Amino acid sequence: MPEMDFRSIYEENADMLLRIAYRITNSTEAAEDVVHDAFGKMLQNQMDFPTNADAKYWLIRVVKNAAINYAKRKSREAKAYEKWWRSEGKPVEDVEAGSLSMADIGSDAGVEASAEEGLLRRESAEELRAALDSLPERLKVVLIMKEYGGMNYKEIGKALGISEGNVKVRAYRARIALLERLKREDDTNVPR
Amino acid sequence: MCPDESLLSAYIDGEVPSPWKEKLESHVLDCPTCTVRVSEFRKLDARLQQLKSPDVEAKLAMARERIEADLRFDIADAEKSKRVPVLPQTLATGHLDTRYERKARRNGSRRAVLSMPVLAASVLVLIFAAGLVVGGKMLVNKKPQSLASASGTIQVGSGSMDSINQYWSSLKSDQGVTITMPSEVSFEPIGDPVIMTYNDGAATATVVSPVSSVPPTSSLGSDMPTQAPTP
Repeated sequence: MPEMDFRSIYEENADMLLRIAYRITNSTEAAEDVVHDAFGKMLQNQMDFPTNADAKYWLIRVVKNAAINYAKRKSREAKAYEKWWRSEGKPVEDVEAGSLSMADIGSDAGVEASAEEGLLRRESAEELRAALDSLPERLKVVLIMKEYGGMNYKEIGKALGISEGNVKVRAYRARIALLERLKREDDTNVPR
Repeated sequence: MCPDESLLSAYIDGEVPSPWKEKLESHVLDCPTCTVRVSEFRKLDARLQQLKSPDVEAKLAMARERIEADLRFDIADAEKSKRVPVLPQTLATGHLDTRYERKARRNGSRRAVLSMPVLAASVLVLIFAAGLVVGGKMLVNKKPQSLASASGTIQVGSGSMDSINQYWSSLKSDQGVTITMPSEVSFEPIGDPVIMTYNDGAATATVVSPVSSVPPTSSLGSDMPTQAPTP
């Protein structure tokens, strides 16, 4: 692949890939790793694509799969730690409290808000992110590509190898599932 | 009749083409159920967008720069070496940064890349230096043995193996011994040389035999040192 092609592919897709990878892994470092690996693989294997768009879809697929694998591995590890923590007779809330990085959750710099408002917003962001994480993978990926990758249905369909109609249905189901999870969360948080 | 809700979701995503888009909008305005659903989808989208934080965006931008710098760095290396003009170092060397290396770089350190000729020269210099060090140590270790041998030189007559064995016995086990044949006497080999080892429990000696002290007809074997380490 000529150098110029590679550069343009990188320029056009790196941000989008990083955002998608970050939303799947919830880690900027993991996102950097999977995106770096994807471009590295493309170079190392001297991959040749008919068009830059084909390269883009290939990259999205590679990044998506690697990010999902990372997230699954982290989830398994977290469950193992949680199991051990429970076996120690300690409340699981202590584990969950430390599992999310506050710095990574929608804390808009420059916005002045009271401590209470900030706490509520962080809790709300945590709930949303937890709900998003809990979605089935095939639904979550579509929503992430749409919301954070800025991709349209056609692009998502090509990247995932599914029809546009299928993307539409998955995006809808993802939203409904997310709304239901958030509603359940709200109901359990209402003081009785 | 209300449209399928997936169309409302697609409408939020801007994926409903004209003229269906306008028809859908018209229906939503008159339908409280669809209005609520569209409102829910819009609020959900807004919340999802709020998850984007400047902090995360800044981190991702830095990650992008690091990846780009790394790839460009590799390309520049390849161009310098003229081996693979348009392909990065990763292709030329088959080396792809490991996550460990990238993590180290994220934490502030920078990968050092050497071209192959420089790397090969460096390896040779290292091997040479290592040889000097090891060889030097060996020489240092051997000096006391040579001195001991020199200071303990004894002269024995022809066939006086008993005195040699006594000398072995007086040595410490870590001392080496050099046996030098008299230079003024020529030896004639009788049969094939044989290595013989003496071991009387206290020390071991090895000598070359058989030789015979006869009038000089051949200089073979003269002044031939034989070093025998004791156990």
